[in-house]
Amino acid sequence: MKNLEKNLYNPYFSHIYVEKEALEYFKASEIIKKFPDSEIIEISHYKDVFSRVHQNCTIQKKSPKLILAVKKDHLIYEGATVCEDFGNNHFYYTSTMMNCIYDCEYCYLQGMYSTANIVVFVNIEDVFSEVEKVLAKHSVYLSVSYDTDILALEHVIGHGKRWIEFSKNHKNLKIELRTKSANFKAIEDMISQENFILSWTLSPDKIIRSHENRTPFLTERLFDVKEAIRKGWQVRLCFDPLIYAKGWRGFYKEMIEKVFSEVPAEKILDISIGVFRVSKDYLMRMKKQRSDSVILNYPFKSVDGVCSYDKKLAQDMVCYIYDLVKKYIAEDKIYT
Amino acid sequence: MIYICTALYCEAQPFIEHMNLKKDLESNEFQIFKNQEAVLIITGIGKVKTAVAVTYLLSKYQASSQDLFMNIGVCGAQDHDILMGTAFLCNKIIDRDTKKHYFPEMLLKHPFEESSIETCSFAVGEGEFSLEGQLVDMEASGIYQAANVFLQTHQLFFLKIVSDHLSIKALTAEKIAKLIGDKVETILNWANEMSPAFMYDKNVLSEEEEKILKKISETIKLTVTMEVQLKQLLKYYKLQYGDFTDVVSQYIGIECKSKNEGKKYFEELRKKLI
Ligand code: SF4
Repeated sequence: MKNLEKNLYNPYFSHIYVEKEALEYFKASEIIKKFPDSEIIEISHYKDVFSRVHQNCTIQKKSPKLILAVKKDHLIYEGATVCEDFGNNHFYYTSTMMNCIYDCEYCYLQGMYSTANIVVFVNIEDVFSEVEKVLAKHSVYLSVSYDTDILALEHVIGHGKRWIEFSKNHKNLKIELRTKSANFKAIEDMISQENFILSWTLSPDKIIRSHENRTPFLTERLFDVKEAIRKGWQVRLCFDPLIYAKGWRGFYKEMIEKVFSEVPAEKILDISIGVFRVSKDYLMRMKKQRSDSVILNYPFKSVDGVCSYDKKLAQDMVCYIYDLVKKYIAEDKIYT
Repeated sequence: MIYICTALYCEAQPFIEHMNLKKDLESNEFQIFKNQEAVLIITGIGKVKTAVAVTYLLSKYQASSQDLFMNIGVCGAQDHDILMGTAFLCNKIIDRDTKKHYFPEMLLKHPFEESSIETCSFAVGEGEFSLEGQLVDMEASGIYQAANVFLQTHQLFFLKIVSDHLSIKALTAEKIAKLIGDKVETILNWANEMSPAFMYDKNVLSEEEEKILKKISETIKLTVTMEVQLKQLLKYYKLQYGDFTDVVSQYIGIECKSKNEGKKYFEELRKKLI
């Protein structure tokens, strides 16, 4: 089947859609140069491609396209209440890319966007200016890999490095870059920054294999975690989202034990634990895209527009993981 | 099912002959030809006519998510270096009147050239206007808009064969039929090769399992909301654990006197299925 798909579908980024205005940016030509065989199609506005009606994300995931655009508004957002802010007062996030190269069955982006194509904004400098304006008023905690996985595409786009450089000169800014990738190599030549957190979302291989299509296995992610720690980076581990499946206790226990048998626990900045949760509207759209998903077909409970496992199961899962983690990590470093 | 739409009979003729399509005598409004695998409609020239014809075709035959749709026809090319008879798969459609752009999906590999096409409301002669599209026709944007109401973007394909360099004087029906005829095999072979991309079964519950759900819902007197919830539970159970018939079979023949008793059974079932 995999081979059939390979023969049937165009390779990733076989087509690059570029806003006319974006063509004037160096970043756009730098990216285009990396894909000499791709068809370049000029567009007026990224939404003409990104927001078409009646797209099928699941099929598009087999051959996603790249869209290069200039971000005009909403350069940064204030954090939503469902997001863990790790005790930081001024929590913001920004999306210099939209959508992700990976294909997790439970990804909320399928509910948020009507496409699997990836937008890259080539004017990251404008986002920097916006952040600086807020920094002039107060310190900022900024999540930069929010509706995407920046590090997964670092070798192509390079936004991760730009953010690291930016953090160097802004000490009242704390940045978090979250990833499921094993792509630390792409930023290994950068000097670690006190105010820059690299966060890895870790999942048991059973979940990765069946539900986190195209993401690296746990061993590969852990290799990067260790490398990042070795090079002095602040590293956060996220056991979030915890996914319910038959035998969950067994495979989550196995994962936690594997993680702390390899990673020096004392070097971990902190840990976050949380169960799968998603807005009701997104879930409805996600189920439409993946009607045969066992994760999404769970009979969730909806509270205030957010769907998740019922309270008891959610508590069981979080407590179980918490108890396992606290054997290795001080409790004040564990966020739930 | 493959849906094909062409503006002219001479564009359709090679497909009718090659696929042995028979005229659908039930259709009086448009000329439609079909067999078990394909339905072809001759739309007439121009955006509005084609949009009406495509709407007629896709609603009459109840197009589904497993079908593919192809607009096939001749077109003009601005660039004289493009040889007559070259087949293009269009990756961008420009509507000259509205200046709107439409982007058919480019997910699948194909044996054609790729290009943009500009749809004009009238025949355009060489040098009359500056055109944004490399190719020119009179239908594509109308067809895209109509077909996209019924089908998803990845199901739509716009195949154009160059017949002229913006001078249609010397074009005859025979010439057009020949240009298209030369590409029929390539187009149909490609359509066959890509058909697995459209074969996905979206229903988790089989017809038999849907019947079981209905039966239980009737016997234990479920409300509409509870039936929806039960369906969700059965889907989940099937995906997580497999066949659910053993778990639910005892509820099929059960005697249930009131809605309250039904509620009790429903709760019982819910616990068994999660
Ligand atoms: S890695 Fe994150 S953003 Fe990417 S597909 Fe998976 S859940 Fe979505």
